[in-house]
Amino acid sequence: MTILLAWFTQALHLVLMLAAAPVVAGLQHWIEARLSGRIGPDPWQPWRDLARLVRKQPALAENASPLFRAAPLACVAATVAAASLVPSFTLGMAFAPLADLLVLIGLLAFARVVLAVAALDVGTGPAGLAAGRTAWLGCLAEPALFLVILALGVLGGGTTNLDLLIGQQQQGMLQPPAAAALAGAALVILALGGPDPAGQTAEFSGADLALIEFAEALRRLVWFDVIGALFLPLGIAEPAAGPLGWIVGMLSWGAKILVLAACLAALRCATGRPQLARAPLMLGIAAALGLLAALLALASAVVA
Amino acid sequence: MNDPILTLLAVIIAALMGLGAIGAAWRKPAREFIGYGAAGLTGMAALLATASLLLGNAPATLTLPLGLPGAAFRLGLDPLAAFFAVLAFAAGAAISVYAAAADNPPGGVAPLPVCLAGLGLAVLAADGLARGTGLAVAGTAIWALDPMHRAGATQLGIALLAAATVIVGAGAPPPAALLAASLGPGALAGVVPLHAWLMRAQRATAPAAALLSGALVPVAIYTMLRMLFASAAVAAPPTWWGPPLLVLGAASAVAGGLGATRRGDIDAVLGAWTVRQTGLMAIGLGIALTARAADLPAVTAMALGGVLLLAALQAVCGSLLPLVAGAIGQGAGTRRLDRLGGLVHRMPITSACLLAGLFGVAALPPGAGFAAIWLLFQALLALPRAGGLAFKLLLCGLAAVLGGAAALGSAGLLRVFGVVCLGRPRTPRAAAADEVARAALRPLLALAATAALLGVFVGPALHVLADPPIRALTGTGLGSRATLFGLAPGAGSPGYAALPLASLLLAAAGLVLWLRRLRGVPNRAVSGPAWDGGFAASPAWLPFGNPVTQSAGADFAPAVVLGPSVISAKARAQAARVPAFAGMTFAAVRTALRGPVAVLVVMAALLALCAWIGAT
Repeated sequence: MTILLAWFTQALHLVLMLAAAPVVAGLQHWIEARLSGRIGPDPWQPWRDLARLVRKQPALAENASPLFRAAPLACVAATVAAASLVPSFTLGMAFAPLADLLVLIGLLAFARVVLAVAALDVGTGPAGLAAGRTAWLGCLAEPALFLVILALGVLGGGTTNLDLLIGQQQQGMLQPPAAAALAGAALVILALGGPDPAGQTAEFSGADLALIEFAEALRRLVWFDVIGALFLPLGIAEPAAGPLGWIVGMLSWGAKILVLAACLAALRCATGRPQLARAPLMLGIAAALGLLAALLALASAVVA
Repeated sequence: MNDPILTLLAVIIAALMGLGAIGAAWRKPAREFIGYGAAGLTGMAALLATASLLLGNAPATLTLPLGLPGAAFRLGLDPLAAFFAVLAFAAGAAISVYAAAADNPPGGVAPLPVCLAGLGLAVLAADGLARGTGLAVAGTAIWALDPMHRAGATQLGIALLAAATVIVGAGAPPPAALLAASLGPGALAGVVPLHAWLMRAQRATAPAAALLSGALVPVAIYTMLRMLFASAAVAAPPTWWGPPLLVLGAASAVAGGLGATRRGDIDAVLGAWTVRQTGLMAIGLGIALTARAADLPAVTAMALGGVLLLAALQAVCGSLLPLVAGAIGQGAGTRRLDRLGGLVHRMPITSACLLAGLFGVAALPPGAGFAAIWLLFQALLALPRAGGLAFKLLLCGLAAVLGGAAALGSAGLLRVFGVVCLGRPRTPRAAAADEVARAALRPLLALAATAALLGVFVGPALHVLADPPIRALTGTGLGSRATLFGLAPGAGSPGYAALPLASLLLAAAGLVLWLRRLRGVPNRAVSGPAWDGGFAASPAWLPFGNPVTQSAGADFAPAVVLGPSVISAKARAQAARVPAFAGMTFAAVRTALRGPVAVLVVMAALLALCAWIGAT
């Protein structure tokens, strides 16, 4: 029975994530537009765009290799796998034993690399430039992320499993190390989402482009979800909680995602899209915050 | 104490020597005879060593009727030796098949079996003299494979230095000298600061380069393991042994990773990649030493598991990648990144092998490189935190270095594969590239498949092959930390489940593929010229388009100045020759990089101040 319930919540979670990803992206655009005084597109617009793209016939560059058609598939697969690992409304889903923070980072990096491979495939200038930029940003971002993970892992008693970490954070939320880690992680996510992804996707069309846009929306939702579940684990149901706990979990999840999307939109509205030239400074500060978090966590672990 | 497997292995080593003698004395025998003969012998030896691991034979020794007067060579076979014998002989078999089928080294193929015999002797030796002799023979034979190569002499010197330190270190010196002596093999594996030679030495012909990085480097790591862990004198190493190795390993990992995103030809990139892998292995050794000093056998076992996994990966990918580089050099006429491009169309199998090898060492799931970094991170997390602030800072620095090495691995994969195999050809010669002979592709495919399988089945592989040596070294094995599904930091706790993760990825891809085949979704694409931002097609006299509008691999990683030892002035000049994108560079960003460096320096200074105040 427990196993059945775990698979049921896992399926429910995945459907929820997949359905919500474009809507959250649309909501963010809408809030951003409203804050800057425009009417803005309907939050459902990304779904409509996807449906329109899927019906179009893809056009392929003459010198594209088979990797070019396979890349969107692999990118979406890795992002969907990542999305299925991060708990949204309940703990104890079927994939909980797989849900490792390092694996999550690795899957998202995999999706990024696959997309960059496709960008280099046709050999056009802007796409190659964008691919190099992806790798470049990753080199600055991952040390900071690993520091944050070290801090969380030390706080969690030597594990990097998401479910266990969330369970630990539920005991005492946002203590100083976790707060520093949160700030560092948020800065990394902000800097990673900064550069325009369109450079890499210029050669895609039709269903391939739809897949990539969907993966981009899903990736953003996964980051929101990680922040929400790890640092603000309010309302996430225990494994044994029944449907009532799930409903509470879903409501609090929706509220968290909405608040985070609104925060990001407001930030974008106030400061504009983060410039690439500013990314190293942001990531440097993120690494410093991660270092602070790890040191605080290590110090508190000795005391405890 | 007499073990039939050990006797057979000794006979095979002697036969390899004989094969080399036949090749050297009698120039007639075809390349195929020597190459395939060596491949058959080493393949058999690898199988025998695997059998010894699987059967769990008791350690055995064998005294050879040769050596110095009064000091006859002794051979020994214990689980650790068997593990590395499997690696060295299996890599040697693949390299021999390739050498027989494709490449004709300038020095002939006769040194190849001699080198393999030397490696076998170094692995199976039970005393320092035999081990040093084996290393010296192997190093000399690699030099003899390509005697005209410029960095060959340095390589020979380093190999002889390592052999000398091994012989000296075996005389049971005080522990401090032992640590210093282990740096001889460390230099052979390319640990910073003695790593620059390895990047140059990779430019030798394909079999020599592959033997160097795929067989000699794992054996050098094995020698370090022997000196630091297996001798009875170091059952409880002093606490200060770990940090030097950790610092040197971190420096190597970062320097190698940066080199791989910067060097101008495939060989130098692969050499840098070897330095990165060596650095990761040194980090693992340092963690294991620190854990052993604190008497934490479980953490030691985990770190050693990471080291053995990295060594296996180096044996597979470290021999695959130089062979692929050789195939590219043969098929496309050059190994320079800025003269290649678009090989995926002309050399699809070689390109696929390159991708498999790079994916294996890059830290992306479900590759084996990711599993290794994951294991090292878990061991790092389980280390005691009781040390002072300096030790805590070291732990944090190592976590950041592991992250940086992972990201630099992705960047290096993207850069090498993207520039060499994807995009448009940069020269007419690259556009006319051709696959090498089919017989030469077979070992490449076998190694590529092994790399992929090692990533997905990392748990069973470690459980079967690495558990006996770790049990012998630490007294506690990996046990339930390496299962069919993957790896875990402790018995029963969730960890990195490689096999379910790969299945999940496949299932997700299958779901999307099914959705794409639904009615109403046009699946067949129309083909046309690249959109390229709407620019017009290139004129007829530029059949592959304008070469400067395509990335040639510049700026895939941040520019970090690490002093002249890491990037020589020559390499910098070469990098400057590689055109960026029609004059577009990241100059502004480079300047901006000073910001985070300043932040970090100020932070470190503050922490040091705190530590000083706290200490007084």
